[in-house]
Amino acid sequence: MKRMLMAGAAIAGVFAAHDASALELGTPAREHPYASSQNFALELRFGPYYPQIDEEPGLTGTPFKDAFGDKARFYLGLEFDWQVLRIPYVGTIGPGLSVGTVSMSRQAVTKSGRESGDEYTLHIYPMSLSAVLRADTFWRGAGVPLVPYGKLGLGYGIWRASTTGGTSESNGVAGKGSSWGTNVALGLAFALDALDRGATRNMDNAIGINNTYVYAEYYWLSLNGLGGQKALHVGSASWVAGLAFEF
Amino acid sequence: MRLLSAFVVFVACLFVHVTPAFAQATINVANEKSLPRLDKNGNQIAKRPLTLNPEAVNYQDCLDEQQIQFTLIMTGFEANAVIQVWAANGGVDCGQQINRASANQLCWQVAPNVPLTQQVDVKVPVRNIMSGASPFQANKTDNTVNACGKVDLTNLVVQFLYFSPGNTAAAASKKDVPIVVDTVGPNPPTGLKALPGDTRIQVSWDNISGEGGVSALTGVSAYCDPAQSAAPTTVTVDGSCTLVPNEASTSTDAEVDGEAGTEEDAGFTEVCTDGGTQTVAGSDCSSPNFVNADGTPVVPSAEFNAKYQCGSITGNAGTTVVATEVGGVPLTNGTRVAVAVAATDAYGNVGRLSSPVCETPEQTNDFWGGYRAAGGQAGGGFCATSGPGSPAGSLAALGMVVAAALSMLRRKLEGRR
Repeated sequence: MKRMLMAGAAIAGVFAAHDASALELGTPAREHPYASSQNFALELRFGPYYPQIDEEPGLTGTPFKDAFGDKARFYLGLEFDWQVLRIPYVGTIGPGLSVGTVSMSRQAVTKSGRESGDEYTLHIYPMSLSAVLRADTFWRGAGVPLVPYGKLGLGYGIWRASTTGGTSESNGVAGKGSSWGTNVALGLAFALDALDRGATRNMDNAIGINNTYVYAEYYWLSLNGLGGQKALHVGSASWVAGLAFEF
Repeated sequence: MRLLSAFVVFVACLFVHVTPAFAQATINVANEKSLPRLDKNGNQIAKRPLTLNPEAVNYQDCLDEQQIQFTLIMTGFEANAVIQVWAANGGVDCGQQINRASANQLCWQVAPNVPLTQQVDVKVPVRNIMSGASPFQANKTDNTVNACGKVDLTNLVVQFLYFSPGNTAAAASKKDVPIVVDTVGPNPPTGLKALPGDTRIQVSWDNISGEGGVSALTGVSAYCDPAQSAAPTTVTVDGSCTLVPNEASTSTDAEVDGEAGTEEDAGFTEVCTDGGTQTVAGSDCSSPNFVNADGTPVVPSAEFNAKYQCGSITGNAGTTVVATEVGGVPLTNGTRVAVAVAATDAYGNVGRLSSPVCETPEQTNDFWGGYRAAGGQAGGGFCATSGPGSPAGSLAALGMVVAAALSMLRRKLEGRR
């Protein structure tokens, strides 16, 4: 935790002490060719999700795998980025908040092994608040429609284990809680605007969307309680793909 | 000429004084589309929701001996005229004498004669209205509780007949009020199946048919009878003997009757187990509370619902009900329960019960129990994150540092602009 605080303070120091004359607030509009100002990005995120519950230290056996198997779960999420700053010859940087949902269910059996009408379920809502750096200089400067990007920040997951009768409980401990952790991601986006620049300009004129991307990203969402918390390890290391819009 | 004038005056007077009722008497019913309902004591009661045809008469209305209040507003009536109240199937005119008084009469009287006043409340018992409808007959009416559950969907008409003084053969005027009666619920579901759960039982079915098909259904209810299901039985098990190799016979866990196992042939020993008693779960499933004295399935009433209903769904799309409690008492693991279901139609009639199936609730496995049993430490609720070891404080400090840095940078950039 101390290391994290120091890193945060260092980042803050860089922002505060750097000669800010080269930085710009967001991406200003331009007239030739016309482009509206650009300050935000929105990602629609889909991908497989592998909860790391069985990696919790001290566990005997693999209770998650035993309960739900080891197949990937479907993750659906949204991310909203505020592209606060434009770094010349690099790209945009700013905070990004993502929220998503993953759930899984299985038919229960009775303690004596009979088929049961009950189901048990685990819902996970993974979230992250990260600094997002999108290096769009290749696309804006050289016309190469590829935008590599990276994310670094905090992760957080809310989760709930339940059965047909409601939230699960074991020896008086309710099966719900939240887990803190870290989030690191690297991705590559392809600018669809390269396929039809006319349509891109029309869309910018009409609704203010500057760029549209398809992207793929690999992330390490480690929701392990940051070392101190007794957390259910509901994070995942996996890839995600989707559409992104800058506006 | 005088004679002709006198004749004209006589005819005019005759027309005015003898037939005014025929020409002018009218009967209207106030608020005909939403008639007040009364209980058997005459107190006004709330009707069913609009989704359950509140103006119609259903099984429970019949059981409760409800009455329908018709507020008649009459004009142009004569002294000594008679107003009678009859009922018949739709399309039958009770104003004709042949339909009221003959061997083949089609109408039946449902209330005493109405007093002759300009406005009067006529209270007609719903059982009277349906008492001559099929399967009953107009001249063999039944207005007892026996009628409830017998009359299926039927369009009846309550007819208020005005008879001029001295002429009860043909009604001079009438007012018809249609009343729909349906006291028979849908058929019970088929393919009933029960599965155990943790203090609950899931009941599912394949299909429900009935008047109007599935579209006429508004719900399905499950009924549980924990006390009366077929109980486990104790049976006597005979002793048995088998031949086992000599080596194996020394390691078996079976109780060996040394006296019985005296014969040894070609390396085999006869091993016998003692007979005894064994508890076996009852294979049949029945509940005396779910059938009538004559063996026919019960048609649930409000009283029956309060006692045995243990789950329900609304609409006609579902095929599963989860039974959790009966009579306010939760189902308990290990207690065998007889479960039956009945469907509800668009008039709020609950159909007869299905044959019961029996099941015993039992604790089930789940992820959380497995995780905690494996030594997992998490859980306890969302507030548990603020307990010892939570990074919330440190994270808040980090967030404030980042926010302060961003704020300073923003001020610098805005100053430059």
